[in-house]
Amino acid sequence: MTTSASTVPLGLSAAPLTALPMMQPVLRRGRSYLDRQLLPGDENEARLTALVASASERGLDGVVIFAAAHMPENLIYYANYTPTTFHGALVASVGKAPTLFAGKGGARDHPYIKSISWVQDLRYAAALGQAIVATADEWGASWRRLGVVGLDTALPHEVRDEVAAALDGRMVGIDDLVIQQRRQKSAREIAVLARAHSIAARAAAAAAEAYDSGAGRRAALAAADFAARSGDAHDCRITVGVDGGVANLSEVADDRGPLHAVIAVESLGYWGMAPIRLDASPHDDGVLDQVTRRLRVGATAADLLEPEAGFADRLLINGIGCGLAEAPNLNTDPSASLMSNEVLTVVRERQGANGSELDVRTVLVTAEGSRALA
Amino acid sequence: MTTTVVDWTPPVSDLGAVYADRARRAQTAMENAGVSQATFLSSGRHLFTDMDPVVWLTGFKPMRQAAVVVSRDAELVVYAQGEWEAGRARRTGTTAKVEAVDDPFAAAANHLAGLLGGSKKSPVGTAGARKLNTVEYRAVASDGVYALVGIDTELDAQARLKDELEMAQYRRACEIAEIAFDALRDRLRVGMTDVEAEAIVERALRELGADDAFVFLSASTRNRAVQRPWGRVLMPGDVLLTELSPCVGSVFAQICRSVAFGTPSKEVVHDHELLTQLMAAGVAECRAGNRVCDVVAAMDAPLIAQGLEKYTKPPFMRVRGHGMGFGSVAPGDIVSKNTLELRAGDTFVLHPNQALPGAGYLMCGEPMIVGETTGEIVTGRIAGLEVVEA
Repeated sequence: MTTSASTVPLGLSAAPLTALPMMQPVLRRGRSYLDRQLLPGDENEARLTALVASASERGLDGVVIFAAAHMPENLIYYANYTPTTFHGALVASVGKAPTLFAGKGGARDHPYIKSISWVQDLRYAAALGQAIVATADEWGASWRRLGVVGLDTALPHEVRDEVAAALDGRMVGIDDLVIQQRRQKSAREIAVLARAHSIAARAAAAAAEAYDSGAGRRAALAAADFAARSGDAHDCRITVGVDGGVANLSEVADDRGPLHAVIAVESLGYWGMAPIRLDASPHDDGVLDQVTRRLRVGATAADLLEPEAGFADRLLINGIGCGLAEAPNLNTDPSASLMSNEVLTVVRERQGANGSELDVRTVLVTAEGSRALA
Repeated sequence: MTTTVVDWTPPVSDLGAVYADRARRAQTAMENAGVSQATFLSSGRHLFTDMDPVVWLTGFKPMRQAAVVVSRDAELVVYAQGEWEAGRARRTGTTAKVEAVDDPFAAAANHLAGLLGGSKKSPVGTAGARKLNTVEYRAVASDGVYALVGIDTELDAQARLKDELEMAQYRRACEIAEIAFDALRDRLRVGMTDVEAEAIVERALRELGADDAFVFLSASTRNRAVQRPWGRVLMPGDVLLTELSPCVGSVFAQICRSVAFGTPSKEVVHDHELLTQLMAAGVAECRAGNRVCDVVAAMDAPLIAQGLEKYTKPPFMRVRGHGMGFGSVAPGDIVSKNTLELRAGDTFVLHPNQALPGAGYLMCGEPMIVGETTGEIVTGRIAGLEVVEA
């Protein structure tokens, strides 16, 4: 059970280092809006329509998608809604207007949600399971089973138990359908991901500029946070390489030491990442170059390692989208085969003279190979 | 930015003694709940108004799952997910044993099962389990090898009296909240967006070492509630609201402010002044021995006297304040149905934030410490309505 540093293999990291750790805030609190130009609501609607159709092919009468403030990905994907502090559920069936259970019932929630989500039937439910059953009963025909997403992972266990009791066995997990649907990005998703990536890159540049102007390390990272949020980020997280591992932004002293970090920003529900380097030392991108050149349709973890099996760096490779780290995860699923229009991040950790040096590359997998997301 | 950057260190001479005392209080909570072993759990998903027992007990704020096993007269054992998280835990200076594992909840469960030595259905205390999802909870529950007993209530009771470290962090959080608002106030101008305004707050807080923040900031000519910013260009006639809550060392504090752009309407001036009167009435009642509902009644009284009783209830307001994490959140929500008796040293934000018939929703709130004879406003004032010249 115990994992020591010496037993972590080189190259692709063993579990549990399945993605770069980043501190979750108590609230995503930057710009929260609907961009009708770049990501209009009909994009979310089309996704939900496709999911409901897939569920119907499995003989299911509808779907229920659960998400929470700290695991909002699926409600972002289908409804452009991030729960503020608790959880929510989207209930849908073929040919029916979907219903979104959200908020705490106060004035803060529903007027805001109506301004960003295409789903207009908003409800509050103290007992979520009973409310889901009542909604399905409103569809006007008897129903037998609903496909559920995120039931065991997004909800507090006691809420989950209430939902399960209310559905009384009339449910089937369809998380696999959602994971599969989210892997291959649409043209709009790729554009939004590129935008998030650009915000992150500008934020990283702002950190370097502040540092070069004499700011301490934490002040430089704060400058990155400012650039990200004022540049439309809804959330911004920074993980810093330190001697012996990683640290959160607040754990960095405001001094003038070197620093290698990764900044992640979320905008319009999609994440972008960029490296921050606060020193003048020459940078070696060789490993990332080698790995990203090997990212292509059909490639697996094994393809990425050979013949460079002797990489002295730790690599974390996973999808990025509405989730900061999502499928495919080549560290936990080395047999996963890459598909076209997947967007991946490759995080590299190297032990340098001053501790862990973090770097990241984001690429789009195409039929021809892969290219940097820009 | 002109904000002074400070690497702040809490003025506490013996941090080890602070955490040793918290471990002792944890043991007392376990005794009160009738258990000899317990696991304190954090999913790494932190909630503003909830206790995080791992953070409180050890000072380690996890990015991922973490569990602490507490057993009578034995060393605390922290199970952190992976070597990177374990390294962060060790750098807190905790005297607990720190183990890097793949699955902290399963590791804690194995540890507890070992302590019980096959004694089926023995009670094991848990704190923080309520926030876990089903996959996580099942890992802790370990297929019914033992009987889980929630001890959150007993732990919160033991943690309610804030120690010198928490009080220092609370005062520091109050201080940087004011500095961040001042940084915002200095830069606010017509034509700026609410998004940029929020980013100014965040930058100041990050520079000053906040490890997180709960911030709402939005504007309208007539607000219905405070929200996240969405890109509004701030113009004369707008009233900007912010609920600004930095976290220092995992202790939150909150201030609430209203800012008028251009000359405020007489309704805005009148209604904000009314809120400050409500606030002052509440502060006077924040003394040991009073009940939470007494504070609420004092704050509601001026409204009732003016025939505005319906505005003392939802949807016009939600709460008159609340406790904040990641330690004890007592005394909880400041609402009329809360009959808890206040104790000297209780900390919470007091805020008569609400909608009124004239100006709509306005904000006014300060961080409090309950005293023997009256409440201490940590910021030293009840902030008035700010005005940005148009």
